Amino acid sequence: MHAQFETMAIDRGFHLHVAPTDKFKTTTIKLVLRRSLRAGEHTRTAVIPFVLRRGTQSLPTVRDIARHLENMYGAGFSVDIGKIGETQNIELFMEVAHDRFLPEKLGLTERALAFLGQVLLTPATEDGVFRREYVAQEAEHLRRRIQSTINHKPQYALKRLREEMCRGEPFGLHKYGDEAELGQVGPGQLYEHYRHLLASSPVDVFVVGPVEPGAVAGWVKEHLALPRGQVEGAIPAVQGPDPQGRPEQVVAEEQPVQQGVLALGYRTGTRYPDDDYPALLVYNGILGGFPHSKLFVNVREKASLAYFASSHLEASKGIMTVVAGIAAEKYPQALAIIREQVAALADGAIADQELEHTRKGLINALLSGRDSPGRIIGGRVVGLINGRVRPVPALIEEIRAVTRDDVVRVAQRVRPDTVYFLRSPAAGAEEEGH
Amino acid sequence: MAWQTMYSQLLEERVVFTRLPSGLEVFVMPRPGFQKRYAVFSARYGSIDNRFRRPGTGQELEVPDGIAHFLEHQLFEDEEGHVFNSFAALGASVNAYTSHTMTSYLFSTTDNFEAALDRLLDFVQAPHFTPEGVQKEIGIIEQEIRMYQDQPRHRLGMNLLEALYHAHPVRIDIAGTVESIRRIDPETLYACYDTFYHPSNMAVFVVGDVDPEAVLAQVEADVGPRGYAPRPPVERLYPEEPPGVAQDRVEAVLPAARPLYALGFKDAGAPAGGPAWLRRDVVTSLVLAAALGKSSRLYQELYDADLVDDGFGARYQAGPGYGHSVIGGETRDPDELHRRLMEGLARLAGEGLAEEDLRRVQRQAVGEFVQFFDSLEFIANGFLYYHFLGASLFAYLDQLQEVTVEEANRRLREHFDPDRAAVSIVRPA
Repeated sequence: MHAQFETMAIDRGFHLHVAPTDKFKTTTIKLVLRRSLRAGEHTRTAVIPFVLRRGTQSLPTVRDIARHLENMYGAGFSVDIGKIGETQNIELFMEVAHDRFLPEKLGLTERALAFLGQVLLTPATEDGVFRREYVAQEAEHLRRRIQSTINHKPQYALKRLREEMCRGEPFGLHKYGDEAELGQVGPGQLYEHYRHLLASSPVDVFVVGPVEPGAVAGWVKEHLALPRGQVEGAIPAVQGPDPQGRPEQVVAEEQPVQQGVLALGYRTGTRYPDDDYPALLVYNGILGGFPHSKLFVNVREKASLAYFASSHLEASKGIMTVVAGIAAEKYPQALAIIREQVAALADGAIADQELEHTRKGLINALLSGRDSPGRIIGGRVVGLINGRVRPVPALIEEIRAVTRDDVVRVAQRVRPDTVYFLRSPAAGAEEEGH
Repeated sequence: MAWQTMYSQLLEERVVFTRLPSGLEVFVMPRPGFQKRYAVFSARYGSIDNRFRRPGTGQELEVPDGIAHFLEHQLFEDEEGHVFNSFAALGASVNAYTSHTMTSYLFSTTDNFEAALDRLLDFVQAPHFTPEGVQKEIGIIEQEIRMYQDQPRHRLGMNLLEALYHAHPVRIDIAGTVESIRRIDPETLYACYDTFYHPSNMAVFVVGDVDPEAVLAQVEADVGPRGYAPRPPVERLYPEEPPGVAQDRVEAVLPAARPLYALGFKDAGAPAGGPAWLRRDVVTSLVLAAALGKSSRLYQELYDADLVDDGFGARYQAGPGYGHSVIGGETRDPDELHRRLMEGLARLAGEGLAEEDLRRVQRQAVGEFVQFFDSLEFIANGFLYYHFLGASLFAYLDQLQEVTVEEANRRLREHFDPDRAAVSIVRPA
């Protein structure tokens, strides 16, 4: 009943992963070009999928593409950059309804793959390179997108935290590139970079839905005949070790905000491919992954300090972040409570109930993920990038087996790195106007 | 137990439903193969229901803004401790939300479904409001409100609703204000609870790999013995809303990256619900997609002029006594965007949509609707949303396919009326 991936080699460094299932009415397709995240090329890489989205030789404008997709019964098409650990991945995503549930039988899965082939192989060009106008506009849109993070303060705080925490590491680079470099991307060098990426990057295509793998493989070979060259070997999830022996840094930033945002960054010392990863999941769950977690209970429910207070893992890199929205004058109290909870875990102050509820919550989340094509594919991508695919049933068994000692061992490896606080310029200023 | 079935030929899905003697409506959609089972228990009670007559006494009551949302938070308090814990013990994930027209409590689980459903039915029917609980919640919700106040998009949208409406409570923020929530006390919470949380004003929707008859029996076994007396519908008191807008333009300054722009068109005399309301909802959504979607001439022109980007969008929202569309996004020049948009819409009202434009967005809407049916959350919440407004989610799909170009053009000319438009702009500090 559950979608299992069947993997087929299509070409050099080019794999197709198909999970056939009749449970969904939709076929979901994701194409991923994997790159190491590195200064020097990350800005150009970031612009590429957005330029590709602008037009193809036969559908040269956004409007032409939109009409084409609407006629495919509202086929979803989007592009993005995925950052997993210290990799930067070009992602093309499509979603089409299955013919069986539509008034006309159009063969939408094949059409979707054919459309992706058009986007990748015959982009709109002028003078043999990308259209100058498209490149300039999309680079500018990315620059604005980076700047617009400020419209959502918790996201902005986490972005600033990662920048401060990982300055000098590839992880500190923004997935959409460098703001200054975005102003200098030209169509010629971008097109050259694109041809290089297409030839040299590992490519994976994922298809989940009511499909037949053999047929999908035939369509991929026919419509996605990518010009492959010398493909880069391993693309590691991280490119170097964590910085050692650095004291915790504290960064404060002022803006006229109604609510302060406190964000803390930790180095977990445990990563996705490690045997202790299931224990790390349980650790994060007990600390701040659920409404029964220590942070939610102590910061929100007991102290009434926040509406949100939670922790999040970026396990491919080995980072945990904690974020809470608080009144600016409650900063010392909130910081103290968060640090107490982190310390409590390292001291083994974990109730049986916390352990049990967290195991169950994680298992529920993993099983629920099987109902979402996006999460089925997402889990697979993270596994491939980390060089260790973790099938859901195996991971569930490992989570069931996690003991308090395992959690404490993981907790003792966790190191505080950076505290970031976004606040209004003067305490009490948030009362203005009342 | 007597139950009925509705079926969608296109989707190949069925919903089994019944109405219990207490008035509670229960709906189940079986989805074999899904791991997750999802249940939602909703009251036809949202932020706009701030004036009403109390059942029995007929006494008129006006309550503080934000109380429906506050009550939703407070139902998570029970005598033993926190409701979150009891769901965590079952491996279930519980949550709730409040909108303009409804309050919903929900859980999803891959295990212990029956126990979790019992727990859901139980905590929603067991209010426990205390002065201490209320005090604690004020601190939490104040932070929730301030979080929204720091979002330029939220301010943009709220300012637009305040400009569009003179009196209708849709203009009030669902969470209320930092001041209004301080006026909430246990007594008022109980008055709202007693008025709106009666089974005759509520419904349950369950979707997943379940046996519909077993679910209906379980709900009846829980609710039946509680001995609810039958009750007529709640009398909600909405103020008289003039057809015109309150203000045609409102501006604010906030820390934001770039200017934000929203244009609203207000309906005069919108149907409060039922099939006519649904039809208007469907037709208007198609008109917006054809007029302003990514395949439209107007969108392409605005995009080429660098006045809009990918985040530009248009949607229609309507409920009892209100109906409006919101069009907008980030822009480099809100005034220029406004001028070009109004010109473009006037041109379109003159020319009308072409048959082919409508057919294309109809195809798109049908396909997207089918795609949504892979989301159990969409099914349950969408179904109850339409049901509470006297319409049906399945009927939505049928109606989509029936709309003609004449009907779409009539609606386009009626809706894009410059005399019932308002603009909200947020400029960066």
